[in-house]
Amino acid sequence: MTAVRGATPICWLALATLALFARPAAGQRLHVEAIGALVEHRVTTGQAPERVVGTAVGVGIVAPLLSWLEMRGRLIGGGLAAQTPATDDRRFGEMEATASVTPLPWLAFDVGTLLRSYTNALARQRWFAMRVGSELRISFGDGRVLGTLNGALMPLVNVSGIESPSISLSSGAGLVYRHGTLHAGLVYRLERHDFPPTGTARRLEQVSSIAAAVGIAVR
Amino acid sequence: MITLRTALLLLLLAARPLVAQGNTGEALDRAVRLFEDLQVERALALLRQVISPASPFEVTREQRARAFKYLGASMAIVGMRDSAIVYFRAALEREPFTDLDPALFTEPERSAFHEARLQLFAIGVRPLQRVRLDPAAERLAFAVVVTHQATLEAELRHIRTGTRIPLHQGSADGVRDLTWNGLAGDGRLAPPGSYEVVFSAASAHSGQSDSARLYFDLEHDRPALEDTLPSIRAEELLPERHPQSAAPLELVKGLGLAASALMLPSLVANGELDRGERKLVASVAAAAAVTGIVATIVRHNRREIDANIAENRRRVTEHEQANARIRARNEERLRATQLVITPAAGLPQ
Repeated sequence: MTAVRGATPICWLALATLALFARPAAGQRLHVEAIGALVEHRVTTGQAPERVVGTAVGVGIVAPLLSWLEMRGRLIGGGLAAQTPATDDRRFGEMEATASVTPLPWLAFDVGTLLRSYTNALARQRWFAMRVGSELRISFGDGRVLGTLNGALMPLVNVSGIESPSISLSSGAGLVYRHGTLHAGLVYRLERHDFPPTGTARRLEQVSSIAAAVGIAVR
Repeated sequence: MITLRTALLLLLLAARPLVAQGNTGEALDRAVRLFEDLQVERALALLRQVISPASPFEVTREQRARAFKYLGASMAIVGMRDSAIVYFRAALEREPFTDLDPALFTEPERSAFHEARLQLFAIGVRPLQRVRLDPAAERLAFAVVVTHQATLEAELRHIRTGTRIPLHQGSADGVRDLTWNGLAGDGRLAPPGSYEVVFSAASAHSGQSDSARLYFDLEHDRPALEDTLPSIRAEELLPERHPQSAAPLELVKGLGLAASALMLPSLVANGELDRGERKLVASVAAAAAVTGIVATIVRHNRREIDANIAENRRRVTEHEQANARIRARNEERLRATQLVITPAAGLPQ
């Protein structure tokens, strides 16, 4: 696991290099976007679920490298406020890189890495995950609007201080509107993490978010 | 030995005309030198031998014309003007280009020659030589002569197609160069093939007419031309309108995406944490449904596929530009075409 975590900066460096020197395919352009998200985190260890909700802001980049290959990166952070009793507020930060291959205009396969942290007054918990999934892309109105529906397995998840989850899934749906060099998107995302049972209790976590993004093609 | 003798005899027989022409030429040269030395009587005797039917030597048409010319001049010198005219006429009949150089011939000689030209009407044209012609810069010259003032018409005729190309129509007197730029009447290069050039003249004095003909083969010498691209076929173009079924399909897509999004929490979320709450996903589902409805209305009202229309225009433009480039290259090659003109003996069989 240490080796995997050590590889993460290299992945980010590779992504940044690709984005910097990428020559997008004809008709495709590099996009940067501002992101605002509403995030909800739920956790239970066999007792009443804890629930925190908050907003996060960040930036993203979409870099088409080839007609069939696209790199995406995202960096967001914010604060989550407790919505249930005996729950601490926490800060939330997330960094994600994804490579998507599109063998067909309506289908994409992607792999990605995710770094996430939750910080409160007492401690910081770090998450590292790798995800492998696919995405269905639905084009509306000559491609000006693109709907997406995706699902992914997270076969490799590491959480600091606790055992890794035994089941990790994610799914999402979204819409991206394009007009000239501008685009705007709305993306829903849901992650489920089921940890192995420890005695009678079992830890379950869920992160859901709705993110709005506004971006522009920069080259 | 007999075989050797036979071969030698054959060689001698074969060599005879050359020797004969050489003898005639030498005799003529000697006669001209005597004439120039004013030994007119001796010159006359030699010239009469040359033109005599009893002459053992072969005499070409040109040699005969030259002999008649000097006979005429000699007669003029000895004061026999009428005979001089007769001989000059004989010279002109055989070679209409016959002329007297004022630096070499006296006034009485030239006067008799002039009279002969007035009495006789004939047209002559010099044979062509094989020539390569750049029609942009060069002209093909036909040297024509009429013995006295006349109207002259000349035209080329493509023997296979019969197409006529006017060359000249006007008056002429003496030698004249008629030039041709290699173009047909429509301004394009004359097509390859065999041509006949007909020169017709009518005397302004006597009304007599005469004609002369030349034949030549014309070839175009240039790199091969490229074929233009065939027209774009319908199947090579993208459809420019959506089918009627496209509008309802947009609605199906929008509602399908909305329904799928709403199902995600139920499918993925753990029931112990989430009891099917859909507050967050509802916004995406609503947006998908609205998008589907709007896309349906838009598609119903406007079925043109802008991207395909633009792509088809690009393809057509590219195709036209490619053909324009080919045509330009062909034009360049056509402009560089050279005409190869080869004299021909007469009408091809």
